[in-house]
Amino acid sequence: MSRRLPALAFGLAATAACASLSHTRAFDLSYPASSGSALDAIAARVRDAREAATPAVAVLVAPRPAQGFTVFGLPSGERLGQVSAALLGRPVIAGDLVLGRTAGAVVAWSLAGAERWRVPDHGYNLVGASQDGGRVAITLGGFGLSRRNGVALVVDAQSGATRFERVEPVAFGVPALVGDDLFLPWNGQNLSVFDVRSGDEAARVHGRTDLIGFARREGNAVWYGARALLRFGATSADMATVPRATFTKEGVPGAPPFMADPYVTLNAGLDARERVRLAWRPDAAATGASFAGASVYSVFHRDVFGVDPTSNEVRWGYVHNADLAGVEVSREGLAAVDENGHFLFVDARTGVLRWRVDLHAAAAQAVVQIPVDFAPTGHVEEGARTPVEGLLQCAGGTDSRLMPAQLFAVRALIDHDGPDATHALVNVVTHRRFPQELRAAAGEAITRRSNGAEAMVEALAAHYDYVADIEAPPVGLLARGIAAHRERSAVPALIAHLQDPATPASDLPPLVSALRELGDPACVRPLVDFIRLNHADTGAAPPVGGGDPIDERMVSDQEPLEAALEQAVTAVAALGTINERRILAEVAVHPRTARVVSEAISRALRGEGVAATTQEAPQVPMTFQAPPSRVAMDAVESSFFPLRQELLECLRGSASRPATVRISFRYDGAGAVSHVMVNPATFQACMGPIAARARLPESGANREIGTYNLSTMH
Amino acid sequence: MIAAGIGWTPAAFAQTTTHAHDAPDAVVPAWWDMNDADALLERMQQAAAGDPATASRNISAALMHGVEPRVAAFGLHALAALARRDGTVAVQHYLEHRRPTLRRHAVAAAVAIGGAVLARAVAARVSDPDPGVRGDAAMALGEMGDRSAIGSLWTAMDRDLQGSLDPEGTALIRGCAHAIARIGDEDAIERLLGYVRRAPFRSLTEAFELALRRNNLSDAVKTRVVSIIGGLATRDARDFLLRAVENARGRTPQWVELARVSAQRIQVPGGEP
Repeated sequence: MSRRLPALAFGLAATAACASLSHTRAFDLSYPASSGSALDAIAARVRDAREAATPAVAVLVAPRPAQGFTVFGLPSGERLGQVSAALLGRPVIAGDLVLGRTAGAVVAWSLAGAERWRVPDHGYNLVGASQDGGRVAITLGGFGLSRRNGVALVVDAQSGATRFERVEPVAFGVPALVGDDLFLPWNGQNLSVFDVRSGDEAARVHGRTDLIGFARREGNAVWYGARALLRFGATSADMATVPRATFTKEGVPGAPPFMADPYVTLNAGLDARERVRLAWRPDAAATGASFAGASVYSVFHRDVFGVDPTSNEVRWGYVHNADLAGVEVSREGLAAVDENGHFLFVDARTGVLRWRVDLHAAAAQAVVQIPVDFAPTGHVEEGARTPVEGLLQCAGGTDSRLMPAQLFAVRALIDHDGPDATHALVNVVTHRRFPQELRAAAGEAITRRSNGAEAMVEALAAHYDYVADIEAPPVGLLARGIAAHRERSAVPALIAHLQDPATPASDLPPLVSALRELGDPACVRPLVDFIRLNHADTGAAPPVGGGDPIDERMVSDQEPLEAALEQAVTAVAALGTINERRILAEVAVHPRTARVVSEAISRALRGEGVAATTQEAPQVPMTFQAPPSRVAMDAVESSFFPLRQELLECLRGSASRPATVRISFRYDGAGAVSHVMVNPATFQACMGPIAARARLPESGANREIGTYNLSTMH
Repeated sequence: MIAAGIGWTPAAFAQTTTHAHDAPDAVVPAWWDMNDADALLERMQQAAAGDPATASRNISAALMHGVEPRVAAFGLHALAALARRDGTVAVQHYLEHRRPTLRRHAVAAAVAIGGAVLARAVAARVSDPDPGVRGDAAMALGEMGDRSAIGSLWTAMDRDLQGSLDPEGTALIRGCAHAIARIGDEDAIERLLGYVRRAPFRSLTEAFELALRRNNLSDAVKTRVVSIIGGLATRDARDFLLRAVENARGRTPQWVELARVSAQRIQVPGGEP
């Protein structure tokens, strides 16, 4: 017995020491991570805890120079109370209290605006607050992780009497209070659970690679994290297996973080971090970790995008007529208050406005608290929009701040497959009110669409009209899209633009290229006219009524015009008849024809450079076969083409100029020309030796007679 | 180009017209060297001095073949001088040429050649991107006597009225006013008077001078013109009235006397009474 007593005394002393040790070791970095069972016991208490009803309210912080805030009930918009106070930092709603920092104190007001109590602020900002069971947990600090000093306290919700207080050299995040369990994030990597009654740290979760900045009760679970949404429970002991929901969509306008730094207090009034942000909410009804409404919202000044966090698909876009001063999420959608004091509710699935009420109070900032099942529905005077229409609306507008959102909307439209999305993209391409950057992105996209070509053809129906104030459509971009779709019905419209002097020169190459690729014979004559009217179009012309000649051709226009002529030559060579190809030969020798065009004609008539076109056009399968029994007439034309200019030189200075010179000759299977006879004979001496140099393609002919008619007419 | 229906608008016209591509190629005479611009100009000059029909066909063929800008300008000028319908297709093409100068030459040629086809092609040019072409085209419609164009001329005039800061007005306002004064009825002249304090006055003076010279307008309308312009009491108004009196050359209808009296009443600072 005497041996047992000292042992018992030692055991009691050790227990007391341990208790004391556990108290003093709170916030100690050597505190071990809690086991899964310990965490599970706490999660079980959370599951069993009754959750008080969440009043739906919006706190509107007045724009300067006014001070204070007004509280409105939602969704009715009923004014509940008003407070005039100089706030130092964004106010926080905790159940039926609004907390804000004023000079020297954190004050709690009822929703009716009556001051309920105040506690000293210790010189720190208000970071966060959470109310449960008649008590309110508050964290102070708010200077970021670089200034690690803060206060955590729990006070009576009615009286403000302190129940728990810790002044520590650590930075506190946003707390959550569930029953007697205080979930307290600190120093970025720790989540401690304190027993409010004893003041002891009951459990700890180490973030390791995860940042921990907030704790939040939602339904029967507690959530924490900062860069991802983690569900508190037994698996929190191992960060690798803890249920988490993340958001990985790239290119979100403004590139906001998953959440604003929870260790830094936002300003009272306008704070840019609230205007460009992601909005989400945990969904306790689902198992594991997921977002309410299966949505994450990208908020960018006045634009909102609903994004599926699983597939990263942008479901819809909504553009409001004023900047949004504050938002909150429910399972059914997004609640927001704009700068003009309108409360609105946007549907999570469709992006359509479901509720709108005027609060009649301007707001520099709005803090919104709504239950997770908040879902007002009523008559809103805005026509129902499709998601694509919403995205198209987001892509438009003249607010230059919104460019990132506009680009995001266009990219979202690109990701949508339907013909309505293609139509919307064509709309972006067509209207010059859209910034050039957007139009270029949309223009690139429509070339890769598998549908919606009729929208492009429709867009081509418009022509420049000064009187009607109609801008020329972006023919080049549309032509590329049409060529990609092989939409032959667009040929007449493309031809009309080819003939329209208002079509910018820079649009001509893709336009002609599209005609070439579509391969419709109907385009040959207009292309021939185009070549003829433009091949010699260099130099000055006298103005009407006389005066010095003027050359109004812009240098920047010359290059695309030549490129278009080059394309046209290829098209006519590929699709035209022998007469039309002969016109090319005439154009090639004109002294004013650009060298690139002449060379293109030479190549085309030799059969080079046409391959690309014929390859893309509907083709007869290639077969291997014996050479033809004799050389076809167009092959003779092509073979003599390089010699044509030399032959025409023989006409210079002659007394008469016949319309045609007939050159007869003999050729063999290898294509060698001999026995040349020229009619009229007066040109025999000059033309004979030149013609004898012609080389025809190989054929099955042993010895054959051929004729080449040299046209001297233009 | 084939126009679709009467009651056109420039935009509708652009959408409902096609080139007459099916027309057979005109052939340039074999002895015309298309590769030598100077020689070609000489040939054109020689042709224009000869048989008009042949000249018109040959010059048109050369233009359709494609020539240097200075040759094209001369060719269109020659077609205007010849004033033959054979030149219609070539002029049509050059009305849509990429060079504004050649389009203006083509407008001038279209006025000389005339015809419904060219009238509609010219009407489309009222909406041209080039201001000079727009003004020429508007004025040309009046000279071609195309009364169906009146509605569009009002629209075009209103379009430029808002943005014009030039005291001379734009070429389009001048052209539209001129054309309306030439082909419009008395109601049109009355309506044009409504622009007196809205449009730059100098852009309207030619138009009202033209109206006063027309024999098919009543003296009552001309009196209204003189009365309203006299009411402006500016130096430009006085100059206009004095020119009107001078142009009347001794005739003494009521409006001439009114113009004389109104001009005398206008006191111009630093000027003679």
